[in-house]
Amino acid sequence: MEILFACFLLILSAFFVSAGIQVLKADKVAYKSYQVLTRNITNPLFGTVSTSHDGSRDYRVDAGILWDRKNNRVIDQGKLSNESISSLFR
Amino acid sequence: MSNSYVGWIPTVGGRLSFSIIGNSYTTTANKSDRSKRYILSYQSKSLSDSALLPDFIWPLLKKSSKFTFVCTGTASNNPANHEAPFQGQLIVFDKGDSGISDFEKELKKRQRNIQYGNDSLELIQTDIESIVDYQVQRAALARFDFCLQRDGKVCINNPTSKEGLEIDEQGYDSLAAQAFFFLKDLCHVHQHHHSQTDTMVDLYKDEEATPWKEETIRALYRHVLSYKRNPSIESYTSALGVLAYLKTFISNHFSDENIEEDAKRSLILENENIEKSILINKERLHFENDNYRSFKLSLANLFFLFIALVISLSGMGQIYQVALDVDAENDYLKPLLEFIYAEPISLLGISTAFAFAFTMFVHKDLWSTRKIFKNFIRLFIFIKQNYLGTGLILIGLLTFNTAFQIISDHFGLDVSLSGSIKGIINSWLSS
Repeated sequence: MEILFACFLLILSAFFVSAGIQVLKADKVAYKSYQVLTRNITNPLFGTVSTSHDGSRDYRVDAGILWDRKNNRVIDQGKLSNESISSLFR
Repeated sequence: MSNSYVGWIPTVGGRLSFSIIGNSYTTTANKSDRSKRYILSYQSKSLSDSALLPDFIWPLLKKSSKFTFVCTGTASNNPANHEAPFQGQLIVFDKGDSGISDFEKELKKRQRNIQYGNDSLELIQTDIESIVDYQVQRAALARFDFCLQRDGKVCINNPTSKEGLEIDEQGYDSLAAQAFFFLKDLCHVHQHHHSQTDTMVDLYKDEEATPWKEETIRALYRHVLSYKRNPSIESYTSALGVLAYLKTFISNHFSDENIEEDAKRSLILENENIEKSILINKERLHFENDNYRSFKLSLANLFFLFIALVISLSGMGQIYQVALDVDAENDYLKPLLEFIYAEPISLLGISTAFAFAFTMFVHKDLWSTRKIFKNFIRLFIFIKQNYLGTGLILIGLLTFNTAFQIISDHFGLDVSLSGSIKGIINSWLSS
C-alpha cells in the first residue's frame, strides 16, 4: 500500500514539475492579460469572471448563467474559455 | 419590451438540413410526413462556470446551475417549399424546479411515440403542445419564439415567463443566448473546432447599434486569426475549419447588392491568402513535430530499455543465486541494488510510475488538454507567472522527495535522495 501511495506521489510530482515548466514557458502577454481578467481566486472559484470587455462580448470568456431562486433573477457567469487556456501553452 | 435577437448557426454547406437535426448529443425526436416535419428535443445541462464548485453546492446557496432546454417546432417538408424555415419555441426551465424531472419523462415518452408510434403528426403535436404549454405557464423561466432559416440565420423573440415571474431585459438577453447555444448544438456538429467553442458565433440584439452580420463576421475572423497565431496542428486545423464557415457566411450574407463595396472591403480579408498561410504553417509544423517526436520516442525507448534490463538482470540473479558484492567506496548503491535484487515486482510498480511520469513529460498534451488541468490554471492564473511556475516545480520536487523517502523507509534502506545524488556526483568526479 505504501508503495502504491509512493507511486501515486511520483506521478503527482511529475504533474507538478511538468505543469510548472509549462507555466514558465507560457505566452507571457496572454498570461498577463488573463491574470488581469481573472483578478483573484474567487472569480474563477464562483465563475464570476467578467464576460464583457470595453462594452462588448469578451471572446476570451465562456458565458454561463445561474438562476437565483431567492431573488428570481439570472446571474451571469463567466470563465476563461478552453481555447484561451490552450493558447497559453504553445 | 423589445427583446428580439438574431444569430447565425454555422453551416459549412451553406444550407441546413432539418432532417438531420438531433444527430448530436441531445435527445431528439425528428419525424416527417409528406408535408411537414416535426421536431421535439430537450436537454438538461449545467451552466455554472465555477472552476471548482460542483453543481450540488448551488442549491445550498439558493441558486440553480442546472437548466432544462426544450425545443419544439415544425418545418415544411414539401419539396416545392425549399426555403421554408424551421419555426417553433425554445423554453428554458430551472432543472431543480419540482415537476421538471417528471416533465422530462413525459417528453421522453412522447419522443418514443413520435419515432415509433402510428399517430399522425398533427395529433402528436397537439398532445405535446398541451403539456408544454402547461409547463410553460407553471415553471418556465423563459419561452421564446424562434425562426431558423435554411442559410443558418436564426431569429429569437417574444420572450415570456411563467405566471407571476418578471425577468429584466438583461436576464432575457442571457437566457436567449443560452437558448441559442442549445439550438446551435441541435443543428450543428462540431467538426472543425473544439466542442466547447460556444463563442465562435454569438446571438446579437436585433437593432442597428449591433449589426449582427458585421458582428458575426468579426467574431469568425477573430477565431480564425487567433487559431492561426497558435502554432499547433489542432489549432491550425480549427483555423481552416472556421475559415470554411466564414467563407460560407460571406457568400450567403455579403453577396447582396445593397451592401456597399467599402463595407465589404473593411470587413472581408484576403481569405485565400490566409488559407495558404495556415496550410504552409501546418506543413512546417508537421515536419518539425515529426523530428521532435522521433527524438522523444528514442529517449522513451532508452528509458524503457533500461527498466527491462534491470528487471531481467535481477531476475537472472535470483535464478542463478548470484552473490551481491559491492565496492565499499560505492556503498550508497548497495541498498538500491539489494532492493532491485530482492523486490523485482515492487521495482516493476515503481518503474511503471516512472514510465507514466516520463510519458507525461514527453506527451504534455495527454494532461494539458484535460479539464482538471484547465480548471487548475483557471483557479491559479491570478498568481504571477514566475511565482506560479516556480512554486509548482518546488511542490513537485518536494512530492518526489516524499515518494523517495516512503520507498526507502518501506524497504529499510538507509538512503536519501540528496545522499544518492551526492554519492553519484562524487563517484563520477573520482572516476
